[in-house]
Amino acid sequence: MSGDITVRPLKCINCGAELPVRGQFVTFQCGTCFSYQIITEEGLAPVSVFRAQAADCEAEETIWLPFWVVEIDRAKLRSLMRGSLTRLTDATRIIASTGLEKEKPEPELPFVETVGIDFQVKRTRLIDETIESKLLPSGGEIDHLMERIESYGAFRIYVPAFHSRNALANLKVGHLLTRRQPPYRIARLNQPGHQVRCVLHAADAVSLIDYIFISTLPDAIQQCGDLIQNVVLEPAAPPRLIEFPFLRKGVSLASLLGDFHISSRLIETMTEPSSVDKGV
Amino acid sequence: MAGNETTTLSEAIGPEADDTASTLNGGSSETIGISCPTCGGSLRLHEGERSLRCEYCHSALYVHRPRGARSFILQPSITAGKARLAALHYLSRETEGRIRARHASILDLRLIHVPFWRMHGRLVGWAAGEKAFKREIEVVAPGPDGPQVRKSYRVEYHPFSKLIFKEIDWSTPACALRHLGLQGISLKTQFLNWDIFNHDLKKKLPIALAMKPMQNAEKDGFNYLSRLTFPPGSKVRGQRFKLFGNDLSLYYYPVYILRYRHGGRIYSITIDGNNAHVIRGDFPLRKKINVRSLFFVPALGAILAGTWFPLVPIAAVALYIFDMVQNGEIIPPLRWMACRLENWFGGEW
Repeated sequence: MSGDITVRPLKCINCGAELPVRGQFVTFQCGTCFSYQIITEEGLAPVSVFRAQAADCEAEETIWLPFWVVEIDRAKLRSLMRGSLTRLTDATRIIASTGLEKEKPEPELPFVETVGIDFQVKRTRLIDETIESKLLPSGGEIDHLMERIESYGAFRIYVPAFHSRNALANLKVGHLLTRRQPPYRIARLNQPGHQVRCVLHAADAVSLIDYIFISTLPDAIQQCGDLIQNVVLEPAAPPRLIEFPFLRKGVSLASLLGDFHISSRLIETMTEPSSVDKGV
Repeated sequence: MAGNETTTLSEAIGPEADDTASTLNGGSSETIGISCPTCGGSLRLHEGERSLRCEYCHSALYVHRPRGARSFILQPSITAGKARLAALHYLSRETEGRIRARHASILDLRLIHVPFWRMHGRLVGWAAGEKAFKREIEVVAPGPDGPQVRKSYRVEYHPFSKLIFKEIDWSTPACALRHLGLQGISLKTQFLNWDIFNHDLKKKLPIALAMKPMQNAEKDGFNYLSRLTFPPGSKVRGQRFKLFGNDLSLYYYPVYILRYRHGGRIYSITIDGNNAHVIRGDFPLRKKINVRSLFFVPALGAILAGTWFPLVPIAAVALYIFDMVQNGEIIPPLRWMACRLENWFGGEW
């Protein structure tokens, strides 16, 4: 089979120096040339790590949490949403017209009356149920959503790359940042000795963007199963690994950019990379 | 190595050490055996671990996991002798001592690695539809003393939309071996040391072929897991699922199959190759005593003996010859007599 696991030497692809062993983290910073590398399906590959800039982020107690940030092609998203809605509206119209036909009086046939009634009842129920299931959001709602998305300048989806005990809550952090679409500037991270707490591959992050996007949609759109099933987002650019600042406030962590709080228990008490190597 | 490393981690990170160490190991103690590419030393790789250090040459290594199904094998931790002993103990216990080692002739004892598809990792998904609510309503119904108000229930459906992201562990046999009594291995895998399956082993080891295609297993898994995640009684209008962070893998689990003969019939017992537990076993049930035969057969014998005594041995020989011709093989007269009596009167002879 193609997916067999192998182990390979963990050496910097730039300078050949040995990289630190980091347990379940997938990113490494070389201790010699300070370049960042990530484990991919092909092997080790260079990765650029950025930091979002915030006003109070230089405080010592700032906790930096990594996110994969995926920019979405808004034009494609609009055409996708619009196209899906049109197709579903047409389908509903066809079903509804089938429902109208059932109202036409049918010729009375002897001996089959009872069977005919039973069949009619079943048919009516089936059509009603199908129409009910096709209750779609109005075009106005989709337009309003798209206007909101387009007002951001760039629409980005934030996928948490840190490890958490609670998988769903972890996804909800991405949901909160995606809903808020905070404005920020980024700077490339080249701080020596700083390891990134990333446990997620870029490819896995891309596979999560649809679900985070769905969670940010209004209820009326979210509850339309047929419409949402067709939503497949396309990244406009490769995902970027960005660290976002959080401040510990009691039992919660406050996002310095997103203006929201999350439970500090959500974040694993992760070992510093050095302590993993210390044990050897 | 694994135990030492966990201890060191625990010391390094303080009070929450145990939790954190288990997280670093992927939340479970499942390990996979692998060789160091530098020195060839044997390493144990914990689930979820992405980089590690070889305990022999101390070189830093990372784990390369390409996409696609992976195969793992578990070597049996019990010998064939122990499996045989476990089967005989089981037989003696279940038959309340009626069948012991001397009563059952063991035909063969075979080790087979049975394949299972295992789906584990994080399942991300979304489902929308209608959730059922039961509401109590009051209905006016005609009664003997005029209209009466009665309580009734009406099911109402309200739309829902649910985001799902949970740890899952599901497995299904990859071949049709229902008679072996094997269901799944998900829980077992968390406490075992698996080795990466080398496909050359197929020629050397007795391995049952995986008959269920990967796509079918994946579909079954998603169907099962999605049903678990939906609210009870809901109508689902749309759903999407993706197994995230891990793939479907094939696990070869060792079982011993012992076949024995008793009373002219062949029975089998399946023994877990890891812990010598009997997974499933067949054994002859105690027959009820047949009261009618208990009366009629001696009566017939008495009539024959009363008519002309040599008729009894003549009838017995004729019956013996008839049974031998029917069976197609000759069995000793004493054993034949025991089988016959058991057949007529029930019980054990």
